[in-house]
Amino acid sequence: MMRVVLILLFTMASTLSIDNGEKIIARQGKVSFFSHTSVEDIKAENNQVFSIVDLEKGKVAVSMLMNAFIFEKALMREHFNESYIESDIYPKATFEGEIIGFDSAIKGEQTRIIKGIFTMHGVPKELEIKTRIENNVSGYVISGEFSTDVKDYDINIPPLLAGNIAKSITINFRFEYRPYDD
Amino acid sequence: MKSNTSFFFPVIFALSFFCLVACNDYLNDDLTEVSSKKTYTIDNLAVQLKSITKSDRDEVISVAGIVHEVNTINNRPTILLKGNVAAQMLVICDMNANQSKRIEKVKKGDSILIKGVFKGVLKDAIMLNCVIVNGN
Repeated sequence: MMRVVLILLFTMASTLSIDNGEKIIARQGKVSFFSHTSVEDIKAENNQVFSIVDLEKGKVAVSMLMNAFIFEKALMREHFNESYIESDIYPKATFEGEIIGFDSAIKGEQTRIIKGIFTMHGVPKELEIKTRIENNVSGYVISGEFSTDVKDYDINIPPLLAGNIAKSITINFRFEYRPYDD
Repeated sequence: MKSNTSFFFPVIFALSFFCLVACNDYLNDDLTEVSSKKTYTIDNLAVQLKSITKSDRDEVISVAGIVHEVNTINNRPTILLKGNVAAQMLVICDMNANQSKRIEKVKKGDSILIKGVFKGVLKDAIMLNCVIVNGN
């Protein structure tokens, strides 16, 4: 009887530890973008991007508040939120995808493609992003860079300001993950 | 002509000054002297989030809570607040650069009141340009 109880307890403990280890989150992920034209460079960063990864299934979800981007100039932020992104109407950008060929057992670094849907300004777009995944002592870190075209997201830029904003924007991201319960 | 110039210069100066004041917003300012629109505890913030409207976003609010963590992830001094109830959401306070000396004194478990620009909620509430009102 005692042996059965011990086996049950061990099984329960193992199950719990697997459940806790399945999902990891980043509360303070960083996403930055850069636009270069001959008129001006525009860069901004958001340091409170939320992300969750299901290690078992290799699924990734990201959510960010568009009004939490920090710009060098207040006027740039005002144009970004009010004229282009319309953050009152579309407050969040999201990404949902899958890490292709992901193996959570691999320690150290692996490079993988994350394929998924990025939705910004209410417009979904399928993306494939080359991503660096580090699995070290302090946890998982996922980082990378990709470019996307402004025109793909139905963003209306007045002709007068078209020269100030690049047609293609470079986006950088870095997420430091922790266990979900932390 | 001279009288026109002497009239327009003060007007342009006044308009420029007004624009500087009006166009500037809380995000780059020191909020120490700015009064909060509302004060919350984290526990009632979670309840009241259901009724938060667009007009509450980008307003200066104060939140009282317990320090869950102090970190510098992304090289940003940040204080995470929690409430008394377990499994509640946290409030992520991205601190103003002028708070570095006060942050050094903040420890996990401290009760603290923080003021900042409320940006919205993901899993946790997010506030930018935060300053410590009291607690340290």
